[in-house]
Amino acid sequence: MPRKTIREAINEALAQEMERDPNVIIIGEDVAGGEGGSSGVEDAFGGVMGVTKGLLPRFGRTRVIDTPISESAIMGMAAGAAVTGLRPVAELMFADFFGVCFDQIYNQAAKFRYMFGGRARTPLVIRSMIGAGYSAAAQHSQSPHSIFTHVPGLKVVMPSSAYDAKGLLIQAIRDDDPVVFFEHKLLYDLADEVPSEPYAIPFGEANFVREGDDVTIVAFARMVHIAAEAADLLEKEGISVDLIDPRTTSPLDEDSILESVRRTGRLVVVDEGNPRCGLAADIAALAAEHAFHSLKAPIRTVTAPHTPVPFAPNLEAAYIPSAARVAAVVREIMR
Amino acid sequence: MTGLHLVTMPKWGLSMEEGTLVAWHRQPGEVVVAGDDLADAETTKITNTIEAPAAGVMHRALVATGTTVACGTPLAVIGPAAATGAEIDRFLSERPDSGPDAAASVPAAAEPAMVEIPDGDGGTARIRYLDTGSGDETIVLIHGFGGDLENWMFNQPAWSQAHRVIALDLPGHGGSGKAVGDGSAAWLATIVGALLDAVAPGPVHLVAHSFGAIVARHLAHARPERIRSFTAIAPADLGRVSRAYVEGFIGAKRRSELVSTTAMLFADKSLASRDMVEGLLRYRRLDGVAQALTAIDTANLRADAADPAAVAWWRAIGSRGLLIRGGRDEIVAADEALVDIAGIDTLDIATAGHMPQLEAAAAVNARVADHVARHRAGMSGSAA
Repeated sequence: MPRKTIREAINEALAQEMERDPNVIIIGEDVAGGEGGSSGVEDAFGGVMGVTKGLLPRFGRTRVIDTPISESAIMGMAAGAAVTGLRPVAELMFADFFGVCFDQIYNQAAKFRYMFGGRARTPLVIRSMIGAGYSAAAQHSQSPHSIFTHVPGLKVVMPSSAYDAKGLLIQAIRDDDPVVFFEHKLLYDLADEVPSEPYAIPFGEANFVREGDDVTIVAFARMVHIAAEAADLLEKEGISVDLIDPRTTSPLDEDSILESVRRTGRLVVVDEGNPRCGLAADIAALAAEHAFHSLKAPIRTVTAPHTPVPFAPNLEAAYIPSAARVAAVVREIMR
Repeated sequence: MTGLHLVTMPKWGLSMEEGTLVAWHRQPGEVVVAGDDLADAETTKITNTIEAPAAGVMHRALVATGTTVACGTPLAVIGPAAATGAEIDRFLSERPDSGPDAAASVPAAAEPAMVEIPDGDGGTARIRYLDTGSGDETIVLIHGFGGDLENWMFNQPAWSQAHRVIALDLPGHGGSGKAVGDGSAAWLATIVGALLDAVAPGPVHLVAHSFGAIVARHLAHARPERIRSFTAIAPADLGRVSRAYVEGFIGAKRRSELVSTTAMLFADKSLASRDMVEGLLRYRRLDGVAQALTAIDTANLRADAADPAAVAWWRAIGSRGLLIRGGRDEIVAADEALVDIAGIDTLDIATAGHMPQLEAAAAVNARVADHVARHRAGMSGSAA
């Protein structure tokens, strides 16, 4: 089985769906390689992370559309295209920029199906980058997925592996509702086995990353790898971790989380987002409401603090949940 | 010193890179005969027994219990009782595959190949197959419903030592294309026949499992000149196929449901490992698989009893046929019709479930090797 990076897996998913369905188009800043520059080079970049490189020569400018730097134009145009029957994959380069286009997403695309009595379909995918770790400062390092998860009418996807990235993106493109697909910027070079054939992973179906009996850890995107590192540390101490990656925050595979918590009696949720009204608190509440009598210890969360993302590398490192922090919290509730 | 044999960590299946030695059944100094259980090794997918390749004294246990080593790493030395420590040291040091770079010097494992076959409807079918070993006889392995060529991971290496062995992925399965025509065994048999015409002209020995045995029967019926012997393991047309299994396999929504469905395959439920279930989940997500499985189920697996055509076939094939069954098979329910073919050459393995080739690999390997030997080119049995 060929190994591919998350970058390659996303590119392959886009290419295969564009091949399969002529209604699939790509819209975003620099997705065609940066139009408007003076170099004259076609397909120079393929987006700021090189994810869409190679699609312009293959599918042409009518399907790989470079835009001006106007996120509200990108999202408005993509939402409109979606209700007319196209299947746009719109890129919001950094999720941090959602503030300038949230009306198009939150008040428009997410509401169409409901407000038009179920008669409008909005098969829109928004690809966007999240995550700290590049020392890119407070406006290019955030993880605002909880804000999108809060919105009825949006589906939210957070892949942690190349296999999942391809299958979840294909599912997102085939889905008839708006889907926000978050890519963690530190994971693009992560590689694992990815089938060359197209496949779709249903939303709301957790991945059981590893099985254990003592504590359930729920984590998303890059935090799955941090939690796995913590599980390695804990295993040496005789503590076995049931690590669940729900893959999508909305819909959320509540059954798998609750099944696991009822078995282990302990829950730690790891999230790179800020703590207040966030994903970790949401999942903690789920377990408190529905698995309370199985709990042997308090539910704990490991998240970023309630501050902006620091620019200084040492502060940024302290900001991001680490394996050591996760392991320490698990040890506390194992006492 | 001649007569020394090295036992190494085997490579079971395409993805196995390392194995963990979980238990030694024999200790240094003990006498063994070929086929004795030496040790158990575990992969992320499955646990199996490593057997003694020859008779003699087990002189060394080179790997401690609980150790994980690369495929090809030396595990034990077996040889004459008279072998001295110095001779064994020299034997080990002279072998390129016994030094610290052992894993690197293991011959590259065979990789599956892809071939395009005309599908009879103007298109092509892409078929993946794994071609190993060489010899005058060719054995062709056909897996069952939802399976793939890796179902033979404990068997293909054994048979490859003396024969050419081709394991294929049926259309709709594994790495083959997912189009299955009308889903009938006859259609699939046409494709398998075309594959054999392309890669293995001449008579072959068919070894087929479950639904694959229906395909094999159609192939043997349509192309009798191509078949030297016919081994069916838990054939799906000699009884009623469990609806719970088939519907669970196609339709299980949650992973936990698929775990219990997969466990039906085995007498030893622990064999349905998380990696095996994850592999099935990944297979089912591929475009076209759900349609392929449904079409095959609809066309082939809905009968309430043994197919009279299959019973007639077993009566007709005589000594060339070998039937292998697990006594604890939960997938194919034994049928009274089997009484009618009571005279057939049969290997019943009481302790195995639906996949004796995995659960009782040693017994199946030995019996099939014997069956192939008795029906090799020039033997009278092959004319029956």
